[in-house]
Amino acid sequence: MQREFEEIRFFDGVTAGASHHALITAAHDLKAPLSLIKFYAQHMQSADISAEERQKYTRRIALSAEQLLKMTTGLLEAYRFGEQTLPLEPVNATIACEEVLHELAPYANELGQALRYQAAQRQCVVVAHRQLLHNVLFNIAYNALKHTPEKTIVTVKLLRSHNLSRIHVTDNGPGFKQADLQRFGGSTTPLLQPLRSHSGTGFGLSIAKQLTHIMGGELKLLASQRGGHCLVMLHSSRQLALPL
Amino acid sequence: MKRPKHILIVEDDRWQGEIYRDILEQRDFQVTLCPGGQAAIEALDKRLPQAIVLDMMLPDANGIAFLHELQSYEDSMAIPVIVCTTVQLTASFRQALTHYGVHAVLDKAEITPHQLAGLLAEMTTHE
Repeated sequence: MQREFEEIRFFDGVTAGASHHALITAAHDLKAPLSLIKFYAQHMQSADISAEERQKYTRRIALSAEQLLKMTTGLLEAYRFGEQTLPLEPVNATIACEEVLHELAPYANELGQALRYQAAQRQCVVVAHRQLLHNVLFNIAYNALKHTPEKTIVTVKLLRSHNLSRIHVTDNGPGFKQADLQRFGGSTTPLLQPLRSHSGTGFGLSIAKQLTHIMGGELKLLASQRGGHCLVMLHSSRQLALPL
Repeated sequence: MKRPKHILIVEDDRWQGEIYRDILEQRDFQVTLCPGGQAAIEALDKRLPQAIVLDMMLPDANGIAFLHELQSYEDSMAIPVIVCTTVQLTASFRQALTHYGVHAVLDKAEITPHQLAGLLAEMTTHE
């Protein structure tokens, strides 16, 4: 077991110290929802609760577990694909956005948030990996839903230009702190550098950044007066771009 | 009729905060739930609680900043605090927290609803 552990490298170019730090951060971000699930389950077992409460708790346990699975899958994919050439394909970003929004609707509902989508005027087909793109979008939008005050509006907007497709995930919450923006966007930043200003460590965003990088794209956190702003830029697949 | 004990919960994870609230309300505590340090300070200005449950990682401040604020005013410095966190705190940090009126530091992964409610009941008994 010890040998296997020693062989784990997170990603190329990440120092041993950063890798160690990433491992701790990952453990922390997994621990929080796991603790929540356990706590809910214990309360359901021990307390006299109504049918309505039971339903609510069950929903939250299921959603938390689902999000945990998404995060661990993303982490494993980032590790696996970080070591090899990724088979990219044309992916319809419009459909990818719609699927993720559909999947996140129960989270938004349960968290008391609003989730909106602004589609591009034309279909956006990007050079990506279907599963990774899904994971990226899920992580970013989930982060916006989870770490903003109640009644925040999270908007996913898709824009296509000549060579690049841009997916903006914005919210009207408190936004990112300057230190986070610098840490996340700095050129010397290790790819799994976590954010610290969130209640969580922003590990989901770090995974999303790594996955976007693997697909040849870029993920940025942007300063905005209006709230949080994440931007995913991916290469457009012009040959398959279909006019509506 | 006895007035219910008032607990201030400072927890930005909505689902975590709400389950604390549900558990405590079921045991006849009165609960104010605040999602961040600033909201908690404002809540303190309105009404002082008998005890506080505090998360250490908050969106607008860290727990220490809140504790420092708490200690800065005579009327709030004696309010007992339970820190509930998933962060692995060092022994020296835990020790430092006792100087800020922290009565217990609980790991969210280990605490049970029963333990949390029991501890708060115990802490507020002598009020």
